[in-house]
Amino acid sequence: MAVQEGEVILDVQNLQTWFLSGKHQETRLRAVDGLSYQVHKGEFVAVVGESGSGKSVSALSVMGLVPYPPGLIVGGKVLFHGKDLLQATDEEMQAIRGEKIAMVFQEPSTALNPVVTVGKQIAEALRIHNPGMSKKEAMAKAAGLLGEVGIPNPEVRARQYPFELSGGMQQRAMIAMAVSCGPELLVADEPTTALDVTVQAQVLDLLDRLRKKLGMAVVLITHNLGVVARYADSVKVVYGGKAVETGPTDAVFEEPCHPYTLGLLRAVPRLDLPRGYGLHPIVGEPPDMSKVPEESCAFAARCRYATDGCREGRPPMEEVGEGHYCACFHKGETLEERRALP
Amino acid sequence: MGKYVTKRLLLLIPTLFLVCLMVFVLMRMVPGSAVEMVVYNFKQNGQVITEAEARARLGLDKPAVEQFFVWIWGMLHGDLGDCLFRGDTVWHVISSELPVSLELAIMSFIISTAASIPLGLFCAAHPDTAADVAIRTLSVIFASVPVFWIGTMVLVYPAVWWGYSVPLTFVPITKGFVANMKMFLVPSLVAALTTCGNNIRFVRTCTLEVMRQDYVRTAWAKGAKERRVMFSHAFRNALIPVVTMFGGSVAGMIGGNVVIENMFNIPGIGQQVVTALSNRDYPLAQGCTVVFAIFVMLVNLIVDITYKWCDPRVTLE
Repeated sequence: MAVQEGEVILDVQNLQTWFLSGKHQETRLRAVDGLSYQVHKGEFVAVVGESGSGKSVSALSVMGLVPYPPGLIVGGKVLFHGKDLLQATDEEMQAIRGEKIAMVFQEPSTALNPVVTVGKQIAEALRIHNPGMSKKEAMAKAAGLLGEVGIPNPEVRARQYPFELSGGMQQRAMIAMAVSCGPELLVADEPTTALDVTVQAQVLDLLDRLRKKLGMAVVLITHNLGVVARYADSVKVVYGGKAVETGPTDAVFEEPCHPYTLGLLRAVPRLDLPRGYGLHPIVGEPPDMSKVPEESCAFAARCRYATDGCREGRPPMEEVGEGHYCACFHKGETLEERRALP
Repeated sequence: MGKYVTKRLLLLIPTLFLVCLMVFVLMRMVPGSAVEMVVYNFKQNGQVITEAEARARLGLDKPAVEQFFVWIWGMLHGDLGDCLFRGDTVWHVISSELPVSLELAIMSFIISTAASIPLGLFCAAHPDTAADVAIRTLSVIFASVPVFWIGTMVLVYPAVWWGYSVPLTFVPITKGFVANMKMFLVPSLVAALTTCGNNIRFVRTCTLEVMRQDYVRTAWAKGAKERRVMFSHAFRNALIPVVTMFGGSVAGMIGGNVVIENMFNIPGIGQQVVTALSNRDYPLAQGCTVVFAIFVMLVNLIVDITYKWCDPRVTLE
């Protein structure tokens, strides 16, 4: 896949979201710590990282939905068509949410209101952004949307409550709600984590089909590299709240320059290698972001190439290929290791 | 649904029988008896009556078991017996005074609900802001100050400051609606204030508990405005405990507004029960208690049916 040519619709610059705790809010957990990335029109972007890497918080930051307290966006910019969403008023954000930027959450069973019918919840999204629409019209449209996301008997299902639907159907309904107003950007926060493996592929296919049909961009937050390889145009690998490697999917998979990216790739079980090859986990645990010094590489503690330079200075993002950026002092060694692997 | 209601109504019968039995036994276990009261009353009027004569007059000379079944048999025929001291039937006393208490209970319930839900939701939407702290502080004050103190203040100070005195002449609602409302407004407000304090805090707590739920975040992500998020999503899911609590407060109001009824000269049933108990007027006290029991059970039934409406996942069986 080539480097995206289209217009940049979302430009996240040096985003910093902290969680403050303690009596005088002296404990600062830097969940998102200087994250930057761009999303082009109609692009399928994957944000990859392990649990606690700040990928979900970064998505909530874009939506302006970080729960405060304790979460607080302390710096950076989230430019949507050049307008900084972090400076937008509540009313402006309410007009953007659902209409221009929509979101699909991880657990469909808890993300849908349990005491309102599925159809009504979709109709509500429609009527919030189309005040002139009648209830009846919205309900009819909601049923149509349920049909479009592949739910059989949409008219019947629309009148049912979330607990009467299976997990896969709930997530489809969630997606129908998110795309109901034809957003330009859909943020999907691990939409398949709570689902069966067989249903996962269906849901992702649905997202991809809707993306092409509606021309919207999708930001998929995931830790599943298999999913990334199959669907994403570009990948942002996130570690310790910042992007450590970004670029077109092929480039990042073929020529990873960051030891963390390489670690993730090696941790994927492979069927094409001999049985004894085994799994190669990344040693150690995700860092406690309230303890990592600000001026250091967050991955240094777990990195086999780490030197004093890594612990004393934060490596800058540097271009390593066309549209392929990496923040590491040891790109060469990493790339060599990759090339030596089967 | 219809089946469920029928079943619950049928279940009322054995429960009521037990209530009757307990009331009957407990009344007779209270020290002092109606006999002494009758003898005393006669003495006051300069007449002399022996205890045995008084006992016979009250129908207390028969064995207790027989008395009990005579009472139950009468009730099954719609006869709750005669008051011992008022020269009136128990049914007449209850039927004329229960509606008055009901009116007070319903009015104060409406006022209390109309005030506590919006205020509780406001506090939940803006937790720990100055307004929230102020409302909560006032709630605690109103919930803890005794009702007779508030009643006294309301009766005294408007008269002192503005020369306004609360109307204390009782007008039945059938005789004059406006005059009746004027009379009931202030006591309803006083009764509402005390329940309101607890209810505001309860609505706030229940709503705050669901505020961090995923579906509330989904509502924000849809672009919903605060009022819609709070009401249609957060509060809608906090309804079950709130309905339970409000139902309980209504059930308590029917016989529990004695002090207010007394202060504001409202001839309600609460006052009647207190008099009946202190006079050992067995038939009246028993009759009132049974009526209260029926009322509480009906309120509970309504609350249970409301659950189904609050949460479709609830099954009634």
